[in-house]
Amino acid sequence: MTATAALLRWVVRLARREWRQHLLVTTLVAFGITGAVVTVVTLSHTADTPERLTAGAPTMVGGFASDGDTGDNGTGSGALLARVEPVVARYPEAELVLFGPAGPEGVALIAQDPAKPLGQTWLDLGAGSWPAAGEVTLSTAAADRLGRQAGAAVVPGDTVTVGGRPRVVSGVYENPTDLEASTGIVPRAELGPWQEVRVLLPSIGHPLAAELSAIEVDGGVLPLYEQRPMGPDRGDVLLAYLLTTVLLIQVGVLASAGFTVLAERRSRQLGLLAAIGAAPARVGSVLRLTGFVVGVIGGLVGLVAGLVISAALAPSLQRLSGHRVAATDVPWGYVLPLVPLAVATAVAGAWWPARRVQQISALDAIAARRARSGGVARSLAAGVALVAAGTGAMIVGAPKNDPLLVVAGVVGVAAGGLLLAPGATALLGRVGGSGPVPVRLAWRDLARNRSRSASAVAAASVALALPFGISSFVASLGSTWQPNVPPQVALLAGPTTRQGMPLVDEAEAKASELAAAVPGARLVAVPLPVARDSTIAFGPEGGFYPFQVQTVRSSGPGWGLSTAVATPELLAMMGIDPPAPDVDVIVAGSLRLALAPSVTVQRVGPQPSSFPQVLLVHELPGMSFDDVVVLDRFLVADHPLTAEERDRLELVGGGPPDPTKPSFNRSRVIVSESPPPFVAIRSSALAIGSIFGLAAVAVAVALIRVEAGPEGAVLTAVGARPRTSRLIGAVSAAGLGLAAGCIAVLCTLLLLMGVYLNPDEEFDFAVPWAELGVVLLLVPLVAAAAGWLLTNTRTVRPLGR
Amino acid sequence: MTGPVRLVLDRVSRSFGAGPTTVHALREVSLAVTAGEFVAVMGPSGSGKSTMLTIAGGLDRPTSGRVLVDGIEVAGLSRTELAALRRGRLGYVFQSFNLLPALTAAENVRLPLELDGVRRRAAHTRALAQLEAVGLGHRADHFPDDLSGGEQQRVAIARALVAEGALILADEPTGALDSVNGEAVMRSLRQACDRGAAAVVVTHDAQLAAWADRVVFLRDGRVVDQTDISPVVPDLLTSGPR
Amino acid sequence: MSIRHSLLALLSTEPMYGQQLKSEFEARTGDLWPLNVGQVYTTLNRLERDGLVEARPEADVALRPYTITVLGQAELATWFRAVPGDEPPPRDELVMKVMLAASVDPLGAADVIQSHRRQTLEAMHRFTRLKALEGATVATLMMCDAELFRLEASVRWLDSVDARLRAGARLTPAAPALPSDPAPAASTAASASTRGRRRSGARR
Repeated sequence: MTATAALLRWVVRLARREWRQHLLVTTLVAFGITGAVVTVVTLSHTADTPERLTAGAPTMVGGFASDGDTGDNGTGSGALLARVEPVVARYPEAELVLFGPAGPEGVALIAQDPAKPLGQTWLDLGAGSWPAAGEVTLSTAAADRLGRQAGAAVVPGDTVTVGGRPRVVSGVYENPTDLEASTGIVPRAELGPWQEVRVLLPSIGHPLAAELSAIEVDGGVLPLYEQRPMGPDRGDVLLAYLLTTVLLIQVGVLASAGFTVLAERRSRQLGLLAAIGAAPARVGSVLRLTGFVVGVIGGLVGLVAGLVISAALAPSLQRLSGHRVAATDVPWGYVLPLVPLAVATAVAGAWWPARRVQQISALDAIAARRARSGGVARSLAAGVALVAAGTGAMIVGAPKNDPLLVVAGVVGVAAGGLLLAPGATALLGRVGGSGPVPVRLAWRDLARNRSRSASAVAAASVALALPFGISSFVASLGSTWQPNVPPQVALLAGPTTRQGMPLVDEAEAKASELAAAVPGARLVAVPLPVARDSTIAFGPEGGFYPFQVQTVRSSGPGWGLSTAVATPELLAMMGIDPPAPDVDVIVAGSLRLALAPSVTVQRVGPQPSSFPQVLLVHELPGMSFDDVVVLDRFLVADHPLTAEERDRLELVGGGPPDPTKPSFNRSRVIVSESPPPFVAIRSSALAIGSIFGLAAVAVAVALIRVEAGPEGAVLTAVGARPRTSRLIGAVSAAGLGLAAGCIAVLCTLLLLMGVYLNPDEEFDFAVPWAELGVVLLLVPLVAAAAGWLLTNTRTVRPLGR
Repeated sequence: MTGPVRLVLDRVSRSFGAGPTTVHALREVSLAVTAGEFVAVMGPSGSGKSTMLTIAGGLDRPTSGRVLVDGIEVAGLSRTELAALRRGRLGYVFQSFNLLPALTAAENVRLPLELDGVRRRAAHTRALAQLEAVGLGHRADHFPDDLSGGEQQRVAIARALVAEGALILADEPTGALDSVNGEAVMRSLRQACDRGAAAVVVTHDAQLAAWADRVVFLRDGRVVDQTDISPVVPDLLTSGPR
Repeated sequence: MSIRHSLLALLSTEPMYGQQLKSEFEARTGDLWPLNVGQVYTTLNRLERDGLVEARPEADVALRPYTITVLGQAELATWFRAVPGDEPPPRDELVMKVMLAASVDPLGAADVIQSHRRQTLEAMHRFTRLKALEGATVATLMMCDAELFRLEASVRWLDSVDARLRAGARLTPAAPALPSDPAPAASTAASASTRGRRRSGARR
């Protein structure tokens, strides 16, 4: 017990003396944990899960869609509702919610009792009151939409026409789980035609559930489904943890650098500890205990800071995700374990320096002899080997989506990269030796303090590598991205029945209506080759399915590409020259196809995703050009569609598509989508990575410069200009940044090769010039500037006694 | 041994602190060193020897009094001008830690030249010559870590001498050396002064002070005495007319 | 100082005559200790009388070679091996001056000490210059070193006395010493050594 107490006393003394280093390492750990917390919280909110509900949402049991027959009698859905409603009414704790279709104005009506508790999660009244007879409470999105159409903002008290008749706006509300829903709450009696019915129950064991499932319909039973509130998507949180791990690796490496310096500066004292008989393990314990304390403090501080930042980010997350995000909405189960992770990281970071300290012979420590660094050759060779192996694993494993190989590849390249750091530092020293005085001093010093410099380079490489990789990948995506349709084109998808039968005439009529809505537009039909199958009982004409050319993948079954008959109009719209007579098939892109070798294929460049990917010039076995259905059409205008035209098209086309509530496939209008925020993603990734990389470099330079006090006195005495010291600081920082950048770029590009060389995916590799510039030029320059500014130019050493 | 005056300390005083705890390190110290002169400074601990040296080298500012190096008033110089002065006219040797560990012996010696813009090859040649002069030509490419204390000190001396005709200011340059190495160092300084340099060396070792032309005694921050050396030497020898 | 044994040492290498002995001695002592020829001959006579050397009969006194006898060799060997005796330290002029100055006028002693320090350093400088001359023989170097170390020792003693006096140590005058009187309890080291000196008597 006294030994532990003595150890603790020593740790406290060490902390008081070296408080700057301790503060630095603790701050880094805190920084890392803050980033981790923010990442986890962000990902948990932006998970792409439909119907993501916040805590306290009801368990929904039971629901059915309308089949168009809303009459009370007969076997249609209307009759079904007539039987269900009284059953539900017998249980006051149950709720019945009816969803109506969206009208021509784009607002879908909902009949829900706002007073009932279970449905409250979807109702958040902002202004006004819930609707009485003749009234409607609009969602904010609906109010905006109507306001745009009317030309003036819609406020409570106004009269609007929704669901076919005028109603007075009684209030404005919001659905926290779906902020962009364009809906309106009306009393049950005023709903009109409905599309879907849902029954809300507090639990699936409720007796009403049993009653409902006993109701027979159409020779079967009432379809029941259960929907429980979901937490964040597991896959996304795992991704957050992966990022966190990378972050913490870097923090650990950086902490290791800090502890190494601590150990070196105090090696004399620690060697004395060994000389007076302290067991070697004790000597290392001092450092490990320090690591533990640092981890605890850093972890807690990081947690608090991360929560504060997440709370501040809540409004932006809300906007991004489309559902209400409260500041206290934190997945505690995923966030709290980060603190023990911080402790583990800090202790791990102290592990290797502690081992080195234990191995310092007392004699060497007292004589203050710098331990001779071992050869770099070994770690360099190991690093190269690991990087090569990892790259190979990635190239082989990525196309096959083999998780084992992919993980092995990433780990191999990462470990190899870290092992390259000492070699890079030694190389810097070699190169610097032939330069002018400041470069020689700066880079040779880096090479001499090999463990410290290598740790910093390793940490900075990790910090730069991940964002560089993400940004480069996004850059490649962005360089080949095109919208699903060009800006001047809209896809008019024709309606089908619930069973999937195309309503060809309706489609044609709708298309003409839509074309009229846009001046100067023409229609291009998409002749869909079909394969008839009389065995499919889909109605009087029998069933059919679209004829699609299949792709070939090495990792599993391929998929069908959208295929159409190559008409001159289609070719013209897609910008493809008339093909040579021997060409059978025109294919967009480079995917491998399951076609007989006798089929002649012409490849063209990638096309927008809503265009047909395969055009048949000649008939292929299994289909005939006589059997062609025209369901979809493209509307091609002579100018990029304006916002009003797009709105009009959507209005005429029957409102925005609602993929979660299909009752029957109505005709839809698909307009050009706005590009994903490539630039925003690249910029933020690069910014975050650069900040972390620069932090690593700054730590290293600060630690090195602090040690250089007596050298500063020598430089002053020898007559170095005041700016020479600053220059040395700047060049040191730049050297570290450059070495780290090179390793980061090398390893990341090698890893990405596995992705780019995948023959089953279409990735066009674009040289990430901006990313290369930031990592190889900007970061070293900023590091140099920071080194310049932060160098202390006072004569540090007191001369004489 | 007359020549141009290299260093003048004119009633230089230096105090540290204020009020009752003020330490008067130097009180009205005056000193003049001409070219070719080798001056030793002796005195008990706390007599202000090191302070005097720091002030002479421009590494510290006096509380009052003037310091002139080659006629240039040090007080009025900017930091850049001071640096230029140290590069070209001064050579400072500390008691310990004189060398930059990241540079070889030759690179250390040629450092003032390189900082002054002399081309690398020319600087290297002069550095090698200077190392030969202190007997360390064969260690030119070794790093300070590989050199003994005495060798490191001699390299520092070589660096102080590399600027021709420099004014050398050395603080106990032989403090860590044995008598053989110490004598070698003093010999180098003596020869440099004979060639036109000037030197002010703080030492407590009387044998080494004997190499100087003049010994100045400091006590409680004041100059209390100095030796007067007659140039006639051969009196002592038995050979010659008697 | 007696040069008997030095002459014996020279004669042990080969027979020499008077003038030769003088030259040899001076050469081997770096020309720093001039010898009087007359002193040489007087010493040789005494040595011959004591049977340690033999003179070969030669007409010219000046060229008469002397040889060492067996007795002389034995005497020489004994002298080489002899440890400097436990005699009281030789009376040193400088030490005397400083001791008396310190006891008579402690505060003014600092000036006396500094004056001696200066003079000693001046002397050391002369010897150092000698060493640096071209053509200085090894003998010269060693002899100069002997003198330099001796002078240095005295400088260091001066420094230590200086330090003691600055720290407040004072020499009290000695009380009259009666054999039966018990020695005063707190006597300074200086008075003890003066008493010691008087008792044993100094001998040069």
